[in-house]
Amino acid sequence: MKPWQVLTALALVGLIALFASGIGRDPRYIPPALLGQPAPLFEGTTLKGETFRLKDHRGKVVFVNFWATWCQGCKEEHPLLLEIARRFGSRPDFLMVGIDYKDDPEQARAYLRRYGGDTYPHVMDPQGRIAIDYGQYGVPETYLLDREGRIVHKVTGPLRPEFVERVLIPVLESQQRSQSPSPSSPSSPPVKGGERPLSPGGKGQGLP
Amino acid sequence: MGEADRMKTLVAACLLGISLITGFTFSDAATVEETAADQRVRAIAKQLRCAVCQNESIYDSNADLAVQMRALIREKVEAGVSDEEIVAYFVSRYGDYILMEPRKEGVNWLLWLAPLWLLAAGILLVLGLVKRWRREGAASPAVPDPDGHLHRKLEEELRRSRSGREGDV
Repeated sequence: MKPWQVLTALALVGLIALFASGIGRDPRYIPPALLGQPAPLFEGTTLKGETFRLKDHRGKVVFVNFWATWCQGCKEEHPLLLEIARRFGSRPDFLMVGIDYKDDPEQARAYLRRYGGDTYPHVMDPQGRIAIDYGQYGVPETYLLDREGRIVHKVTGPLRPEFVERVLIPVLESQQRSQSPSPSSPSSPPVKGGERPLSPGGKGQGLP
Repeated sequence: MGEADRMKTLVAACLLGISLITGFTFSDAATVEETAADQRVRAIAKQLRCAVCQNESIYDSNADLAVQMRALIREKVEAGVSDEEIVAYFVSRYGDYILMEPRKEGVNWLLWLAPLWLLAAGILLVLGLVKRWRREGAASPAVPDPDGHLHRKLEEELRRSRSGREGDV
């Protein structure tokens, strides 16, 4: 065989292999780019009018849930959120925070009054800037951050009950032993692997 | 159709063609009201894929998320962030998925070059085959019938089948 024939055969086989490996995948699925990476630090105003800063909660396992009143999947998972808040909300090393994504604050407050869930803070994200910073593309979406502030798990769509046993409890327990230095001390080193510069108000965050 | 009519048709077709071609260019060109920032936002937004509609760039899409992303790009452009940094920011959040065109690196080169290579190889193949057919076609007639025997036989068969059919009627 001539060299160009070999090259042609290789190109053909390579392309077919690439397409074959891709054809079974869901084209809507976006692999989470931030998995294992330091979670983007955000700050913003909560529905109760308080300021929330993620960096104030270093050393905790943080459960970040993006939701909206106009989102059907969020209503589906809401009872589970309430259960997680009830079971783990009082732990000092655990924090739940909701991100109220592109919503009317009045309606959001009414929603929480009606369905419950205002035991933990809900940060308003009217422009979707926190959402984009997390690489989010729909609601509901849930991220679990370990004590080092890394994103260890991402759930797209309504949360399922298995999440508690399979993801949340292992993360809460696995690191309990390794949290030797006082985790809540503000002087403790922040997120490993570099902190991202941030701008306040939950607006678009600065580039690294 | 007269000669004049034909000319008119030709001119009309040319004009239509030109307007189509330039029409495409116009849609891509900067409009008069566009500022430098607008142009940069457009250029960046065209490189990024809409996360909820797959085949559209966030420049073309009217999905909520795309609108927000455009607003964010504008904010960053106005804050003096460079184009490369803005694209890198979106890639860091959404991965390579967000890029409309695969990066020109590593195994992606196969995606870029293999189709061109295969096209060239295909053209060469077809040219080679055509050349061979022509050579073979010139050398020998389609059906060799040197003394006209087959031709006569064919005529005879045809005549017989015609008269046979008339006999049936």
